[in-house]
Amino acid sequence: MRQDDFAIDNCLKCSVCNAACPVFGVNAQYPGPKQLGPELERLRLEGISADTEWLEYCLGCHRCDMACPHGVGVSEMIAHAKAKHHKPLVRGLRDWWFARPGLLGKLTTILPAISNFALSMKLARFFMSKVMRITPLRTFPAYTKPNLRTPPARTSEDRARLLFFPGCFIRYNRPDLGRKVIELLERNGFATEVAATECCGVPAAANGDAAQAHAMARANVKSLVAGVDAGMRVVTACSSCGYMLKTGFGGLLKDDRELAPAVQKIAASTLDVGELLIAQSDAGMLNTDFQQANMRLAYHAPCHQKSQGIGRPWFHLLRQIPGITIEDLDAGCCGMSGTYGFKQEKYKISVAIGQELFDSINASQPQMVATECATCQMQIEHGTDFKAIHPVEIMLQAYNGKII
Amino acid sequence: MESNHYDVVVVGAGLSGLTAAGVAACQGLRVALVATGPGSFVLGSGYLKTQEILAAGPADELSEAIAFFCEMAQAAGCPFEGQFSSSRHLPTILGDFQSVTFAPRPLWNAEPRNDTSTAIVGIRELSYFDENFMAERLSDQARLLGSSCTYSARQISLARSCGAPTTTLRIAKRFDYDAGFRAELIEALRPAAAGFVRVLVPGMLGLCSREQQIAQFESELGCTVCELPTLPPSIPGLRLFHLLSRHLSKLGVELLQGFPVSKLQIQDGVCMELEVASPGHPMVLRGECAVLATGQHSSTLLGVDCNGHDEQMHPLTSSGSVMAGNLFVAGTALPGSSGSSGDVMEILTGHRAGSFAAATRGHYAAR
Amino acid sequence: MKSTQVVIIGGGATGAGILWDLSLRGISAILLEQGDIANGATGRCHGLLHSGARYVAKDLETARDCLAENRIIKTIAPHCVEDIGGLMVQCPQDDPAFFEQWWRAAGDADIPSRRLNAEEALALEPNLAANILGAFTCPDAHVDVFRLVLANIEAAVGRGARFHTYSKVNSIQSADGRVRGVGYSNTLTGEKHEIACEVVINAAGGWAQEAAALAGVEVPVRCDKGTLLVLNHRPSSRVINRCRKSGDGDILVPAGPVCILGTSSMSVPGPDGLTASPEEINYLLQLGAELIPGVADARILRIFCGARALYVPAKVDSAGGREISRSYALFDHETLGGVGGFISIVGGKLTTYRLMAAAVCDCVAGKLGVQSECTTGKVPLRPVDDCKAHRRINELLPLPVAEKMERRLGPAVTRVIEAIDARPELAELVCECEMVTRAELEYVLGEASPIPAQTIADIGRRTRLGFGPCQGTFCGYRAMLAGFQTHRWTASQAAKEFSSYLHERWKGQALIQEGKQVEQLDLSHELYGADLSTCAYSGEPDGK
Repeated sequence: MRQDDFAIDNCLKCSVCNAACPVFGVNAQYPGPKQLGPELERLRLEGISADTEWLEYCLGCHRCDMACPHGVGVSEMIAHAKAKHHKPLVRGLRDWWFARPGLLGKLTTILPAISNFALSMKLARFFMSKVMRITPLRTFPAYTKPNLRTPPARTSEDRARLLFFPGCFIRYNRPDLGRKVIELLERNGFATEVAATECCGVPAAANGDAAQAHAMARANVKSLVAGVDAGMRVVTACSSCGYMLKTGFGGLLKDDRELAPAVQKIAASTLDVGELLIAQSDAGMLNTDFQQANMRLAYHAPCHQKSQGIGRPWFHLLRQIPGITIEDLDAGCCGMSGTYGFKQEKYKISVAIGQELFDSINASQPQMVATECATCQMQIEHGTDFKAIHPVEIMLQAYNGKII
Repeated sequence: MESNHYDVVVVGAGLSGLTAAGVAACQGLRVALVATGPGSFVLGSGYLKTQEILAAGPADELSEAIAFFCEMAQAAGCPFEGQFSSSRHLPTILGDFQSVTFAPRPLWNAEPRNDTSTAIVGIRELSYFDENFMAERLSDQARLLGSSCTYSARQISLARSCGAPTTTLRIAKRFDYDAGFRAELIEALRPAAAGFVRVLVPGMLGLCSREQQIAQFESELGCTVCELPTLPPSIPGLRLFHLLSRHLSKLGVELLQGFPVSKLQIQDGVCMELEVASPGHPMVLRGECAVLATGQHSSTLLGVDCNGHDEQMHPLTSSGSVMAGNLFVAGTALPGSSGSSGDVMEILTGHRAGSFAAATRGHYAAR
Repeated sequence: MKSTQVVIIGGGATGAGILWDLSLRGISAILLEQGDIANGATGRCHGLLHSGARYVAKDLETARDCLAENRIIKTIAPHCVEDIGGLMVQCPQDDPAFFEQWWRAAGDADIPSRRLNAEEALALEPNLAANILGAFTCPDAHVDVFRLVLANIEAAVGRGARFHTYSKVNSIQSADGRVRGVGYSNTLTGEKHEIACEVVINAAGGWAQEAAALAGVEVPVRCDKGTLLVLNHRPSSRVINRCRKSGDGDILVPAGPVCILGTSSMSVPGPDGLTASPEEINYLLQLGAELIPGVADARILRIFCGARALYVPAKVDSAGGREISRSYALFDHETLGGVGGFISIVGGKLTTYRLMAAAVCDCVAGKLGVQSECTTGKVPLRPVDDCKAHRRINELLPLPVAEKMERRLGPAVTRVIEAIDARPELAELVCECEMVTRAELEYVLGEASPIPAQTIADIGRRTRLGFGPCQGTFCGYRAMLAGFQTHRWTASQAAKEFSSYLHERWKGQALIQEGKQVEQLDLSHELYGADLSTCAYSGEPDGK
């Protein structure tokens, strides 16, 4: 009998998941993870249609799973139900696009200048808001030429080789960040190869597109497995990609007899950049050749970083840079959740959830906010006047002595 | 020091785990607290029960432990009231009175007081708290206790700000982040509170609200506000958990929430490593010592089939020998504990295990 | 004094079926039940609507009766039946000769069945043990016993019959060798009543001997205890039987969101105070795990025992419970014991309740000189659902809530719609596991329902409230408040009622030794205090 069939048996109905749910706190009608997850799952097993539009409103932040004292995989149950949820045409079409950031990336990057212009054009924005139900209040991240490549080996010395899983955001929007990751790793003695991977599948799963998530997972397994078999570790710089790889693509392929062993191996070999570097630091092998900095940072831990269960590697790494003071904001979920915050009907919820984080940033008045997740960065910059960047950039600047 | 190396690793965030972590952190040790969710005290009323008090060992140790806990709770912003020499009758969810020795301040003040008039205020949109039921029951029960306290039922509506139906959890969350909502709540309560010395409301005054915020709320309303227990989750219980966690975090305790400890690596009578079941690959923690405060239902999952403990809170194997010199056990994970959470025994054993763990400092550092 | 033609003792499936049958024949009747609906064996069985598959090899006659009734009940009461089908699973531990014997007998009994190899069976039910040899399909189904009894009563009440719960018959009056009436008291209030009647039917199941004694006659009934375990969710989507001579722990019936594993068989002196031993429970679990290995780790919500009232013909008196026929017997005490107008019906099965009722009613009609035929096999128990109400309830309530409520209430759903239209807050869920709204709860408590609930447990039998994982810990409290708010109980009565309800719920969980339900029970104990001392035993007067 499949172990996860028993997950609902673990629920004591204590509502601690509801207490942890960001949406539950700001939307008076949202039924909450307890109901959408284990309670309705029991009825789904009974064969009752428990479809509800509220399933779409789950952020996929996994805070319910993390808070549950009894190990109920609440969000996975919701994700499964979401995949079967029936959507009206327009939202369905929009979410189809949102489920495929890679496709959007590939298309827009053929002619990035033109598509970025179009994305910012009034007419296009009108179309997106009125027809596609995408909020006009946010700006899309600009697309650029996807020119992230494996750098040529600079030294002949035998370095530990890593596979870098860039994810869509780095590949299509911020290849420069990808290069910084590679440079940072190189400064720590690693040779990094950019993996020829697809989207990690988080956007597809979050938009209830199980088929697409499956397809992405399969493609990714196939492109990663050879490297992993050769003993390479996979590094990610995006929390969501890392979460997806580590959880075996959200459990999507666990029934696939052919791929399941590879999936497990990849999951076991995947590390967040921060996780890798903190391990280096623990082993006394971190390059601590930092220039003196002078900066006050606030750190926001993305939900998908927390749900990797690796502690706070970046918080501890950045603290090692001389002259940096850093405060862990510990102010909950930012509310952006990838494409969620772009959706017109969810925009208000998204911003309301972020308020606690915005307030704590405003109270902290840092020079900059450090956070690993790209959409957390967008949300912070949307909700406050502070700049938010990836800790990789800060650390690299510290090597280069470019920190104020 | 290595980032994953701790002086003390505490497993479990119930009352005993939080206390043990607090004891170690207060001695300046590097502490990790690994937990999957809060302990079960967040489901109960928030009272500290003392039924086990006689079996609890030397009285001064118990008072030391409770004093420590109360100090910690005070510093966290969630002060407890009470003393060993006396107890109070506090209301239960069924409208009875229960004898309680310690309770968080907003709960503590709900005792029946002679010749005082008290309003029990329900909320129209909150159907699972009934002010009439509570008032009728508490008046009856107070009479049986020989008190002349009277309870009157009042109802307010929060229709403008809360959807109907609502729950205490939703109200508490609004209370936390929405100053406008707090103001509206005060306005709604003001007429209901008129003419009463104190009002009793269902536990709902915020998940993270500190003492000062509740005091300010009271002063704006102009009368004492007490909370009554409700169906789980208990807002006062969750509040205690949140505030204590934040406080420990401020003290430098690394909170590792979300995944259980799946394995203890015990070698030659020493616990070398703890593995946390994170996705993908386990997170390995090295602790000079570890305190298991996993609650009664999950201690056996770690292969620590606890057959008792010695005076220093070391768990014993079935042959009666110490399992590991740097492994301690506390709370309802202890065999023979009442199994009831929210007991002062939890605090006592947490305090004791935390103290013994802290005392091993340096012993196992050479590994 | 009230009067009627017929008084029926016992509100199980048989009694309810008789009430409906009589009402269709135009015979006036009152049913008296000492507890609530389906209080005895009816409410304590696994709810299998037999296809006859379990009997073909032993008792072809009973098997044929079951198959015919299976088809009829699926037609007249589709809202009470989950037509999920069943499997007779061939386990390697069992005698292969029996498989072939079964297959032939199933053909003789015309039970529609397909033979599946192991792979096919596992494809249908992936949680079955991997070592099974194969399976036969059969048209088994699950019938919701409470709903079935309610449906019969509601239909009968709609035609003028009367039904009183918590009414225990204390005396049967007779004169000149004929019954003249009964005396009964309300077990909740103590009030005493009398009814004059011409015929008394003893359909008291396990209490049949007790009832017969009131008329000074005896009936040969033996009580046989069966223990059942309720699992939190369904590990299979079909009824799973073990293809062997009927034995212990050989059946799993998915029943709504839960699944019932049964049963044991043990002779007991009477139907009251039954309890299961830990050995019995472990034994059942072990046997269940031979069919579906996951059962060993599944969460048990509750353990309960029921007493089958088996008819014991004199010659098999020494046989064990399983050897005694599951067929029924009708005693007309006019000829057997000299009490005119007193009839006992004993033995039988849930599946054949309608058949038993028909036999009784034919006998009654003969006594009363009424020319009539049984029509219960043709008349649907519930009118066809109203499309307008269906649309409206789906607008008012989210999908699973609407669907569940419609199945439970049928046409009465219009009452709930009216209530929610008037007070939208009544759409709130009281029981989140079984999707019971406040409106439905107020309906079953109110006088508008045909048999209003008197206790929180009664609410459960009508709505499944408290049947989920929390076992009434959360929803029972809310139901108590609803009873208080609708002025059914004063505050202290409400607290007392909740206390006794909760103790009953705790009792069913106390035997569970490990797993999540133990934690759930601990939570309940902690929340209310393990002894609920003050409200249970405070010596408070019964309300004001």
